[in-house]
Amino acid sequence: MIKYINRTLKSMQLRKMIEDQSGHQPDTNQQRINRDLDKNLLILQKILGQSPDIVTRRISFGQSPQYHGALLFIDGMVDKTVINQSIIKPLMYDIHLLSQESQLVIHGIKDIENVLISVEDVQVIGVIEDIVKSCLYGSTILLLDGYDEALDISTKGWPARQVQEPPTETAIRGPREGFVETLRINTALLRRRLLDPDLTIEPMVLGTRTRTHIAVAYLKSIANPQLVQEVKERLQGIDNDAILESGYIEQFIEDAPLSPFSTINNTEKPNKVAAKLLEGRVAIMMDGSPFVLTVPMLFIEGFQASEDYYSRPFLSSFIRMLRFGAFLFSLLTPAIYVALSTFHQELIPTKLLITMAAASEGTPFPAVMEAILMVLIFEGLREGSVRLPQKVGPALSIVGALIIGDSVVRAGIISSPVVIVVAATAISTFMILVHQESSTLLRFVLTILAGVLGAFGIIIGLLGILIHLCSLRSFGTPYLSPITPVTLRDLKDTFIRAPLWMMGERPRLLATLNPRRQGWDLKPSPPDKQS
Amino acid sequence: MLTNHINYRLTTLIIFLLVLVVICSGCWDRRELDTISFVAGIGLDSGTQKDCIRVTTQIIDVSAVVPPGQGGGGGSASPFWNITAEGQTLFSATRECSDISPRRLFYAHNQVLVFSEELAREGIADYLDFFIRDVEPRTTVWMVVTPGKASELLQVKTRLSKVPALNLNQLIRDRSATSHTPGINLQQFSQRILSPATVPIASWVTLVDDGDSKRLMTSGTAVFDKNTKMIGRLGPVETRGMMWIIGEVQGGIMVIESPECGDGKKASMEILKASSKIEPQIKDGKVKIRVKIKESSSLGEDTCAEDPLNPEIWAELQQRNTRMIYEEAMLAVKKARELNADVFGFGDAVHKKYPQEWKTLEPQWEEIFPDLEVEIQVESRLVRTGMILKPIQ
Repeated sequence: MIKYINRTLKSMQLRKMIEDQSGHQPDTNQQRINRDLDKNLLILQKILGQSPDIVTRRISFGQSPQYHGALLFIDGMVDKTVINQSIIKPLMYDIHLLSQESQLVIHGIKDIENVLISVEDVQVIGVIEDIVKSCLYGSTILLLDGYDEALDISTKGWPARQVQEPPTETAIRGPREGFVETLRINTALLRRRLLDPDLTIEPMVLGTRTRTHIAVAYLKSIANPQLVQEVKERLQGIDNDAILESGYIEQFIEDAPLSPFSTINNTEKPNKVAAKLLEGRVAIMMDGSPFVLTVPMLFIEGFQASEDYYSRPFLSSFIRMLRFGAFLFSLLTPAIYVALSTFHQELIPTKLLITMAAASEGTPFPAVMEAILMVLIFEGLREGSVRLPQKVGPALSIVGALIIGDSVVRAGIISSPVVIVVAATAISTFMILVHQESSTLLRFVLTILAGVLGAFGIIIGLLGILIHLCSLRSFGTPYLSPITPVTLRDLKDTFIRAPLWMMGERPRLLATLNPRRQGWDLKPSPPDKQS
Repeated sequence: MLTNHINYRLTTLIIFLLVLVVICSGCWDRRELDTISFVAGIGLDSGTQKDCIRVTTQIIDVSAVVPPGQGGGGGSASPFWNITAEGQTLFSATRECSDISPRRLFYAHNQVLVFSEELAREGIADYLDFFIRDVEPRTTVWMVVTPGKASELLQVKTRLSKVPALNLNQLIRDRSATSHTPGINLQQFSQRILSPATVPIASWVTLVDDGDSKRLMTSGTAVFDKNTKMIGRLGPVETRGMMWIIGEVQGGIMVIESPECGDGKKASMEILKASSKIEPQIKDGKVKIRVKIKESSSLGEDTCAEDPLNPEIWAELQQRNTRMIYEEAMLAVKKARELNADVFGFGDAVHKKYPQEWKTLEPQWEEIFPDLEVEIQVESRLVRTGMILKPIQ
């Protein structure tokens, strides 16, 4: 034990040393812009390097010419028509259209911004680092000789994907738009659904190298300020050099990093994010990924699809219960099969038992091995069909259907009930919306437990899962709420989906500032005959 | 930070130990489907040697009962396999069977316990203990007595359900078609043994020889005394009489002389439901039993041209049906008196209603029972006529 303590102490010292060096952070340059243009360009060249996509365009404009300057931008990140039409053209050509007096008024960089540059978003910056940052994010920098300030002209224009229906969340009924990889388009998609001045979008930059732009979105008058504060604090705590996908953010801010259950929800659909914000949640959007995170996430959200609210409540409720059933089914079926067929044969009806026994006659492996093997093969097939190019797909399904489904049974290697059980499990997994990950992993755990201890093992496993779920929290909200702790009013939107006119209040455990979302007595009915 | 690390390590250790506990203690009672054989029925005969019991264990040969097209076993193979072994006790004999079977015998799906009449007349209490005490066999197993050897009964090549024990199970389950045999499982049998007055009964299954083939048939009841020795039996009609009284009739056909027509024209009344109530009375120290039977039936078959909807005929049909039930019940009472066996549970009814008096009645119940005054009231109602009214003639 002492040895162990010593080792820990040593590793702590080592860690401190590394932290002092802060090797994972690129050097920052808080240097001010020089008055000498050439000097500036030299400094910038030193920082940005010689890459061919970094373009420096020297220009001289004004009378005789009055100004010498340079435009700095990154080819491919900018919209060249904006640069040509709205920056270069006004500076070099339109300036001569102004009267003599007006031209004389132009003194310095502020006047150029105000009078000449016909781009909507222009800022004056004074630090080299800002130049680098803006330039790398698609701005065009106008440096002028003799001035210690530069113009940061927004000319962002990189290739972006069109707004499409997201393949992960297709809708039969409901809007088909999905988020894209550009943050600005995403915020616009969201704002188009919430024309509410309270919709607040707070920017943030994460990742010391990727400098990913993040937006925290919430409804100011609904979301609990403590929640918003917590989200922002956790985001600021991310000290990482790269944020390539919102999954990175998720893994750095989630409450239970070691749990198989996800405590942060993600979606590609603006309408879904709008609904979450209206329930008092906070959304985290990032540039470069169409997946938007929403927190806090409850277990129950894994069973709620946005279409549940768009179609009438009866079928929605039925389908929701079906999803719960499917979750349990996909979690438990192989385990129950293994437990029954190797420990509790007395629980199987006699006729079924005879058929099952006949089918497993001569198969070489124990039932638990068979089940795990088949589940593994199924997971492999599924993973393969996701990753493989589309053209290889049919080959995969042929192998899956023929070899696994038929030949394995016919050859007597795997008994047919196992194949049926795994197929049924597979079908039920397709109905699970969010908890795919946990159900896949826990299925294995439960199957092994069932193979070791039978039904007793399943109960141990289920109890463990239940205890774990009860202990989980997502940004302060109990994960299993409103089921436990029970909030009767919120149960209207759990196992069933009550009619919209009955759900007058936002989820209670999110502690929203404005709990009521609609008027009273909204149940529609035809007008009385008398009136 | 430091304590955190130690905590993590401690947690890991605890989780590891828990997993170890689970894994080390698991698996010991694991049995794969292809390592066990399912016992479908057990036949008990008296042994060839003195004080020995002969056990015939019927095992389902699963590979022979698979539906065709599933591969596996051939169609000609026998779907069952009988293992016979002898032992001084039942348990030892069943273990002898395990010496013969390559797979472990699994008793939870056992359907029937067949006793030969010879063994039953010697008393069967000794052989029931195992089936109640052991964890695997169920007490829902049917109790069956056969006049011949139990091993022969389990040897019959039955049709449709190819395994004789499963066939027997089906026969007893479908007893409501005629109510000619009771369905008594080990649980009920044991309860009757434990009761102070009621005697145990069991289904009586005979082997009918058709010349070229043999078949099983349920026909009546084997009646035991309080020492679980078989003392006699009730025929099919007497059995239904008994079932009327204990309220176990679930169906059957009553054939009555058709009113009006006479000359051998018959009508069949289908029993829809029936219930009974046993009401004991003690007057002046004399016990009197009143049995109220309620029945409703439907006209299942009518060969007389008269319209059964005619109120007089309707009433007459009901009347005759009532009479028929009364006679059947009285037949059973008569037979029970002859055997001096309280198959109906009259004693229990008295015990329930007069617990104080029962204390003095119990020791002499065997003397009281044959002369017990039994009054049977039948209330039979004809409620349906089926799809047509008048017979087609």
